[in-house]
Amino acid sequence: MRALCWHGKGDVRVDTVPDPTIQHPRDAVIKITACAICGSDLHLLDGYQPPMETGDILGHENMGEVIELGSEVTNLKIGDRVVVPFTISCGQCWFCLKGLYSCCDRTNPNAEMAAKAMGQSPAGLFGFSHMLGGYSGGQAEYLRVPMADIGPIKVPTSVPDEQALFLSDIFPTGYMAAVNAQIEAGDTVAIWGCGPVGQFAIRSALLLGAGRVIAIDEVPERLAMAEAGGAETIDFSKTDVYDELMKRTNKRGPDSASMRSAARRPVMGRLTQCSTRSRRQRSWPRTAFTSFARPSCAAARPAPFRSPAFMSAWATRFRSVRP
Amino acid sequence: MGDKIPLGAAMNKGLTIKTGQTHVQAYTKPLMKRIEAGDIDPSFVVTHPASLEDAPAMYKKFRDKEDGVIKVVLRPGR
Repeated sequence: MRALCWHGKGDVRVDTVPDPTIQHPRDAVIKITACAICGSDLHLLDGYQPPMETGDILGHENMGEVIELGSEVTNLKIGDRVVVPFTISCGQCWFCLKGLYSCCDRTNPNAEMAAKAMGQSPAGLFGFSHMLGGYSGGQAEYLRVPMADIGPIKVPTSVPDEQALFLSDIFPTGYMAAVNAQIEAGDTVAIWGCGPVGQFAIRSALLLGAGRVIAIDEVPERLAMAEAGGAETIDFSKTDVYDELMKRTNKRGPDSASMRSAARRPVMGRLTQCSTRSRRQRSWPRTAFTSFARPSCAAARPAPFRSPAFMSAWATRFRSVRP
Repeated sequence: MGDKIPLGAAMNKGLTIKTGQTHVQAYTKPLMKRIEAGDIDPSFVVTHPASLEDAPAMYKKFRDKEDGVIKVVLRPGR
């Protein structure tokens, strides 16, 4: 099959490689009908997410048609159209049973490597380095889907690929940001970063009842898309974000704030000045972390911040990924 | 850590800070229902449909924010 393969920093190529096969009774193989390039794939392109090996297939936003099934996958049948979560989760461990699927502790065979570099290991991910499992991605003609009885969901015939595809990652990711922001009806929500995930965070915040969304970026077409989605915008290259947010919120600041990985400048100090209730942060400004740093726990509230285990995990990661 | 995350300022504002890699499997079915109900059409984000063979060039365009790229979708099956 043809597949998009990593060959080194800044070097990805479409190669002919062996087709994937069923390796476990819970596997499926799908024929990819649509897949997307994610902003986090750029971390791989730019060499920020080691270890990668020559020939690794990228891509974790995938959907397609089931062409082969392992014996234990009974909820799907050959020919089903499915969209596949980027997180590979077992559905049976303590984390999965709590709904914390991205913390699944059974799907990353290289969990020790991840724990050493990042404090804790998340679930295995498609096409995202050997530290996160070394699973082949789906920017290819075919994809092996492990845990296929848990991850993929069927796509109704009324929903075209372009609408279903983003359930694999960026729609749920933006939506979870809005959920984490604990939005109450009529709230004002500030969102830093209007890349693809930010765009879904904007629309999700409005779906969840936000009264106003103020979206912050500097790229004109991204600000325009944010406005089309119902947000007010601030261009941080032209306007002081803190002053403008305070001006627009009667000097109180937004009710909640969300920072997308698109943000590459230190904003935490300003965030604490602006936000009064809650905030979600998915990853860190690249000026502080050169890696795609992942927080080690799903919901970090004040108590975990004080625990020795948490502090130790953070300190470990901080040392390891700091420039 | 303390010099990067201003915990004192956060405490004085009573902030809750939440983080997390997405628990995708928890959201796929309810969000599929929102799509089916017409509450949102996620295809709005697609700016650059492309073929798999175009992927290397699209990676670089996306990274460099050239040509107005916001989201690239590849269609290997076509």
